[in-house]
Amino acid sequence: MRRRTKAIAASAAVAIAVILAAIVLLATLQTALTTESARNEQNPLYVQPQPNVQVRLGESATAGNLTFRAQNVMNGTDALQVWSSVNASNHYAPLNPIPGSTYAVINVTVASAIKGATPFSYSNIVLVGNDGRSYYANYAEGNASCSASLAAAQFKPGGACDVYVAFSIPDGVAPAKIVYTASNPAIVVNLA
Amino acid sequence: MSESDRPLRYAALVIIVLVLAAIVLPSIGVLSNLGYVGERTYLLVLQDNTELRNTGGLMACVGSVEIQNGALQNLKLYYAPSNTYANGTLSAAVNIGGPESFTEFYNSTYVRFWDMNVQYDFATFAPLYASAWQQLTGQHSDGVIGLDLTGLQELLKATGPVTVANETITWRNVIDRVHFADVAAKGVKGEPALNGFLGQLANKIITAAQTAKPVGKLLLLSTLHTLAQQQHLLVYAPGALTSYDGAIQTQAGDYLYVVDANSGSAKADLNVNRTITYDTYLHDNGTQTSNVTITYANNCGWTYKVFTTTLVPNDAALLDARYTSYHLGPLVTYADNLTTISSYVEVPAHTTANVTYEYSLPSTLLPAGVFSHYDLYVQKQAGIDQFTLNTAVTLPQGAQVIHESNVGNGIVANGNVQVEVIYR
Repeated sequence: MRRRTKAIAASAAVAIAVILAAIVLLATLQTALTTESARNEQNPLYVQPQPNVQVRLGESATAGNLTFRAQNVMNGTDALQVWSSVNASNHYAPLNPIPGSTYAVINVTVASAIKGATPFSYSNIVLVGNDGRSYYANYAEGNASCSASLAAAQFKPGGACDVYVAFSIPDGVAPAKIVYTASNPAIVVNLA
Repeated sequence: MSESDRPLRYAALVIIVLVLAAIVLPSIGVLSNLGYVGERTYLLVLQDNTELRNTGGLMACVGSVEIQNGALQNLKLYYAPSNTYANGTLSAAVNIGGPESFTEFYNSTYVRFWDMNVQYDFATFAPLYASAWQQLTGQHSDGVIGLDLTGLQELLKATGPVTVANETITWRNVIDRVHFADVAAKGVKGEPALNGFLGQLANKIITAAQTAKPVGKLLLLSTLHTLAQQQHLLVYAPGALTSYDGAIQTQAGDYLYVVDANSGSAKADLNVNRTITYDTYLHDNGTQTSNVTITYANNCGWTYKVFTTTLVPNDAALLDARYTSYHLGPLVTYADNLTTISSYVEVPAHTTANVTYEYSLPSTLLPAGVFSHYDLYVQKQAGIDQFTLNTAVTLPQGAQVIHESNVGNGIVANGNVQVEVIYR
């Protein structure tokens, strides 16, 4: 009788140990997945490109064949209002904010020097948040005379373009810098 | 162990072998069907769920991929409206033959190939799509995989950012970048740059998945499973993964499935919130009267136009239909052993509109011993991120609730919902 009781107790102990080990294993796995997911969801930390030229909002910077001036930065409701005014007829880019996020819209003027066509892609503009992370462009609209050039990523000699670029950023993050990364030197616009 | 035990031991061994074979052989069949053993060709369709269609979204890109011993290869994508995939001598118009709500309302059984996902579920659409594809291109396939833009977004959350042609694509910008490639950016011949962009993006995601650490691979698997449950990823693979094909899931009891198709209002659907309010009255004789109201809150700056179909149990009789904005319909038809009620509705910019149907049903109550059991299964349409569900169940006079679940207001659902009331 005693031997049987001991056997049952030992079996129960082994079963409890196995269940506990499985729980610990599953909890560890869940934690690892959550950590990996949180890490991959975050945008990369900003690393300042070198060499660079630094200007403020409203100031022009010229690098190679390209002149770049950030005129304005808008956030939240203001950004969506500006977007719908420059984008009234385009039902293909309504800017649907992701839950927990908002759109920042920047207005930049880009001009090419007289000689040669200038490559320009809005996707080379990076918005740096006050959380130190890089946010990449979602969509761009140009004024009527340059939207085709914007889509083709080439400005004709002497051409200038008024461009609105939208970025999705988390709620609570404010734009701190705008960086045009494709020129040499890179152009850094400090917003603070 | 005595000699007399030997037959017993052999019998036990045979039973173990048979049990193992019963477990392993179907698995080999499933793996073979999926392409983990041997070679399989799957058709692909990227459904743009910002412009909703019945099976999940506008067919933006179509193509195929080969899976050889588990490895993806020979990925081909085409911009769906281009028809470049079609044999030059064939028209890309397809005879869809149904569903009746669509063919009767639009008075046509022919649609463009890239508009052919008008069936109520992916499981019905996929074999028709595969057949039409084979007619147009000559290519045979073993199944169809559908992914929408929410699925693409979630995959990028799992892999982290990828670089496509020197541009950084993250889960935050991928949907807008797809639309820019679709509408604004042009290829060398002036064609939309979408298929090129998506082809490169898909290859980068595949590479990221293949080179991920084990925990990254597990995260991707978990993401794919969640996407399949929420019907952002749909897999039609006859003989394998049958639970991922988005099929209509009629069950015993009450049933409700609202299927919407954006009817010319472009990329509006992520800015339109849907609420389904279902009130049902269970009468003493077991029959019931139900009211379903679909509420559209249009946050876009333009009119939202939708062709909406509500699928309810067979033998439902429509008693009344009420609307709060411009509409056409209702049209009552029958499909998949269900009654379907369809309407075309317009929701002006920044307004809310309601569609209400009142109908009677024969008894949908289920036997539950000494108690009565009411079950309602609400199926979520593929491609919709979430909807709000309000339900109220009025019991026969004098009845007492024993147990209820998912009854009440404000249930935010990103999948199917089972409503249950047990009473006496």
